[in-house]
Amino acid sequence: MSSDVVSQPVRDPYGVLGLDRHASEAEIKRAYFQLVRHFPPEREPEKFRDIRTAYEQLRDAESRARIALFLVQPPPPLPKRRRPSYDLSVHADDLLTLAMELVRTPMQHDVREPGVPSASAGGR
Amino acid sequence: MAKQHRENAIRARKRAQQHRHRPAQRVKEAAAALRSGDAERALALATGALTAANDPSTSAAARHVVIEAHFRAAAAAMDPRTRLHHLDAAVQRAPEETRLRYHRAITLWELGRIPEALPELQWLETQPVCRPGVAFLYQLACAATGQPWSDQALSAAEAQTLRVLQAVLQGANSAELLKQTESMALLDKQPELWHTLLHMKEKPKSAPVARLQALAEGLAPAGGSAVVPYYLGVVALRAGEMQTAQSAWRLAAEAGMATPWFVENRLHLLCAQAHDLGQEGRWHELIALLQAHRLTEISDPALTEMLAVAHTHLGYAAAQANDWSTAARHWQEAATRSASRQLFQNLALAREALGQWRPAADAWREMVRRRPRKSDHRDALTDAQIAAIWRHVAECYERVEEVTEALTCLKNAAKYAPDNLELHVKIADMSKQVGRDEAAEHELERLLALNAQYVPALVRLGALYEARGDRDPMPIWRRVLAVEPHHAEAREALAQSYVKKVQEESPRYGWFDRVRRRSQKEKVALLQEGLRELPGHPALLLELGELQRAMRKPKDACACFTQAWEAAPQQSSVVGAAIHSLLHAGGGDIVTRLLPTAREMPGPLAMFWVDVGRSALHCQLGQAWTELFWTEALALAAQGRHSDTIAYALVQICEAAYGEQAPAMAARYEAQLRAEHPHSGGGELLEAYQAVHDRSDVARALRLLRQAQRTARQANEPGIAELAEQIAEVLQSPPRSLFDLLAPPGGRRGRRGRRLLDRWLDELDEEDFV
Repeated sequence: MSSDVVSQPVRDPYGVLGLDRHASEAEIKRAYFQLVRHFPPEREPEKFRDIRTAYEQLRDAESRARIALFLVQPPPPLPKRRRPSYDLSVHADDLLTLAMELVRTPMQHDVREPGVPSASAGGR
Repeated sequence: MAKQHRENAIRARKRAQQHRHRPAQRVKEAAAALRSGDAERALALATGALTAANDPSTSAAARHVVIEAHFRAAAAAMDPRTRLHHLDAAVQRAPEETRLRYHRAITLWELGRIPEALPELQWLETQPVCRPGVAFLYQLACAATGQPWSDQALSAAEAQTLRVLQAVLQGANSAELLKQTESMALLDKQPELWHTLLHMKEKPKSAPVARLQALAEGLAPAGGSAVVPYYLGVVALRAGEMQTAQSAWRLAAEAGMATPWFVENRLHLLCAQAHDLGQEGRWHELIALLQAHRLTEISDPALTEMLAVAHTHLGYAAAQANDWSTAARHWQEAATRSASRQLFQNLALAREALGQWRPAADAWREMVRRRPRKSDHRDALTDAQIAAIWRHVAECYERVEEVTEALTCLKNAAKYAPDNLELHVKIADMSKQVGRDEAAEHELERLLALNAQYVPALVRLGALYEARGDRDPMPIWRRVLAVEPHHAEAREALAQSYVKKVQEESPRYGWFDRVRRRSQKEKVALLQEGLRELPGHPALLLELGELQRAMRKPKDACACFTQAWEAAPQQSSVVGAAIHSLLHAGGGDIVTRLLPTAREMPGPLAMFWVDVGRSALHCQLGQAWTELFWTEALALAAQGRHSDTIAYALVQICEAAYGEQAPAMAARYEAQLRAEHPHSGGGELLEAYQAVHDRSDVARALRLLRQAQRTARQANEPGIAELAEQIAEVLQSPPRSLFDLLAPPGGRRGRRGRRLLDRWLDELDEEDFV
C-alpha cells in the first residue's frame, strides 16, 4: 500500500478529466494530454496540478481500484420490470361476497348513543 | 387574608382534580369524546372508568361506552382485521348484542373466514327479532361451506340467487347459467349486475365495461361494495387503463377488499406504476406512491429493490449538490433495503463529509462485511483494497481519538497486507501511543525480521530502547548508520548515547559502584571512540572538551570547544554551549575571534544572546562578556527579525539580570527601557515582576500585567503582551502537584512521568540507605 491513503472525501478524478467511470486507459491518457494542452503548467499551475493528480490516480489499474473505494458510487440502474401476472378472472368467492354485500346492513346504521350515568351516581 | 385565599384556591384545585378522576366523570367525558368522534380517547377513558367504577350504574354506563367506542372504532376501520379486533373486544363484553354478532359475522366473511361466520349467523337466525337478510346470509354461508341449505325462509329472488351461486360454486357451465339468469329475478334492484359478472366470467375479453360502470353507479350501497369496484378495476386493466384500475382498486381497498388475488393484483399494478415513475427519474413520486399505499414496509423483493434504488438516486443527487446530510439520510434509508457494498461506501463518505467519524467508521466496516466473497464477482475487493479500507477506518477512529479501535483496524489491515512495512510501523507507533511498549517492540522486531535494513523500524526501535532505558540502543543506531551513514537522527542519538555513558554516575550499588565508575581516561577513550565513529560530532567534542577542562587541560579543552563550534557554526545550541565552555576554559580570545561567524547564524532570536549573557552572568564569567552578548541581543532585536523588538529584548535582559542577582545591571537596562520605550508595556511588566519578587503582592502584579498587556498591544509589542499574559496565567493558576509536573513527559495519562517518579523515589531510597 502506498502512503496516499485517502483521509478526506476525494475529488473525483474522473470528473476532473471529464470522463465516465468506465473510461479505458487509452481514453484516460487521451483526456489527460488534451487537458494539459489547454492548461499548461506555466500558465495554469493549479489547474495543471489537479489534472496531474487525477491522472496519477487513474493511470494504473491498482491505484484506480484504490481510488474507486473513496469515490461516491453512481446509483445502480432500475431493476428490470417484471412482467406482471394479473389474476383477472371472476372468482366465485367474490360473487358470494357480492351477494353478502347486497343484503348486509352497513355498520353506520347500527351506531348508538352511549349511555351516561345519572348525576346521582357516586362512583367513588 | 392572602394566605387564606391561597389555601382556598389549592383546595378548589384539589377538589376539581378528584372530581375529574371520579369514574362517573370519566364516563361522561368518554361519552362526550365519542360524540365528538374521538373513539380512541373515549375507549381509554371508559376502560379506565370501568376498572375503577364501584357502583352498578357507573359500571353499566362505562361498559356501554366501551362497547360503543369499540363499535365505532370498528366502523371507522378500513382494514377488516382491525375491525374484527374491535368487534371481538365488544362481543366479549356484550355477547348478547345482535348488532355486534351480526357485524362480526360480516367481517369474518370479508376476511374469507366464512366457516367462522356460519355459527354467528346461525345464532342470529335463532334470535326472536331477526335482522332482514340474516336468513339469506345464513343459507348463503351454508352453501359456501358446502353444507345443505334450505330456501324456506327466503324470498324468490334470494332463493334464485342462491341457486345460481351454488351452480357457480359447483363449476356449472357459465353459458347455460347466463341464459338462465336472463329470465330470472335475482337479488338486488339491478339483476343485470349478476348477468354482467357472469358474462365476465364466461367471456372476459368481451366484458361490457361501460355497463358495469353504470351498474356500479346505480348501486352505490351505503356500506360501500368492495367487489364491484374491484371488478371495475379488472375491466379497466383488461382495457389497459391503469389509472382507472388504480382508482377503482383504491375504492375496493377502502371498502375492505382483502382477498389474496386482490392484494396480489394491486401490488403488481403499483409496482408497474412505480417502475414507470422510476424510469422517468421521478424518484420522489415513486417513494410517495409506495408510502401512500403503505407498501414501504411490505417484504416484496421487487418493491424493496425499487425503493432502495430510488433512495440511492436521491442520495446521489443530493451528494452532487453537496447536500451531504440529505444524501446520508437517503442512503441510510436505502441501506435498510439493500445489501450493496457501494451503498455503504457512499454512506461512509457522506458521514465523513459531515464530520461524523464514528458512524463513518461503522459504515466502512459494514461495507467490508458486505463485500462479495467470491473473487470473480464484479464487486469483489482485492486484499490490497480491503487493507486500504481498514487503514482508512483506523484513520476515522484516530480522528475521534479512539486509538484502541484504530489499532484493531490497523491490525486487520495488516492481515490483508502482511508485507506492508509502513503499516507495521504504524501499528508499532500506535501501540506505543496506547502505552503498549512491548507490543510495539514485538511489532518492530517482526518487521525487522521481514527486512533487517528497514530504517524507519530501526529508528523507532532505537528510540524505544532509549526511552525505556533497559536495552542499549547504540547497536540499533549503528545499524541505521550502516544503511544510511548520514541519518541525522541516528547520528545525534548515537552521539548522545556516548555522552550519556560518560555522564553516567548513578550510584546504584552504593560504595561498590565507585569500583564500577569509569576513570577520566576511560571516559576520554570512550569519547574518542565515539569521534572515530562519528568524526567531528559537536556533542562529542563539547563533552570531550568538558572532560579535558575537568582534567585541567584548558588548551585541549579549548581546542575541542573550538572544533565543536567550527563543526556546527549554524547550530545555535552548539555555538551557545561552545561560547560558554570556552569562557570557562579561558578561551575568551577564541570567542572574540569566532564571534563574527556567530552573527551569521541564519535565524537566532535576540533571546539566544540574552541567554548566552545570562549564562555568563550566572557563572560569573565577567560582566563585560555579559554586556557584550546583550549588546548583540539588542543589535539583533533592532533588525526586527522574527517579531523581535528592542523593548522586548530589554525586558528579557532586565528579567535575566534581576534573576541572576545583578540589580545594578538590571537597573541600568530598565532605565534604558523606560527612557527609550516608555509606552511599550515593558515598564509595567517589570514593576509586576518586582511586585511579586520583592513584595509578594500578586494582586498588584496582576493589575500591572493587565495594564502591560493593554499598553503593549497598543504599542504593537506582541512579545511583551504575550509574556505579560503568560505570567498572569501562571500567577492565577493553582499550584501544581509534583505528579502533575511529572505527567507531561508521559503524554497520555502520564505513564512515563509516573515511571520517572518511581525511578527517582527508588534512587532516593538507595541513597538514604547508603
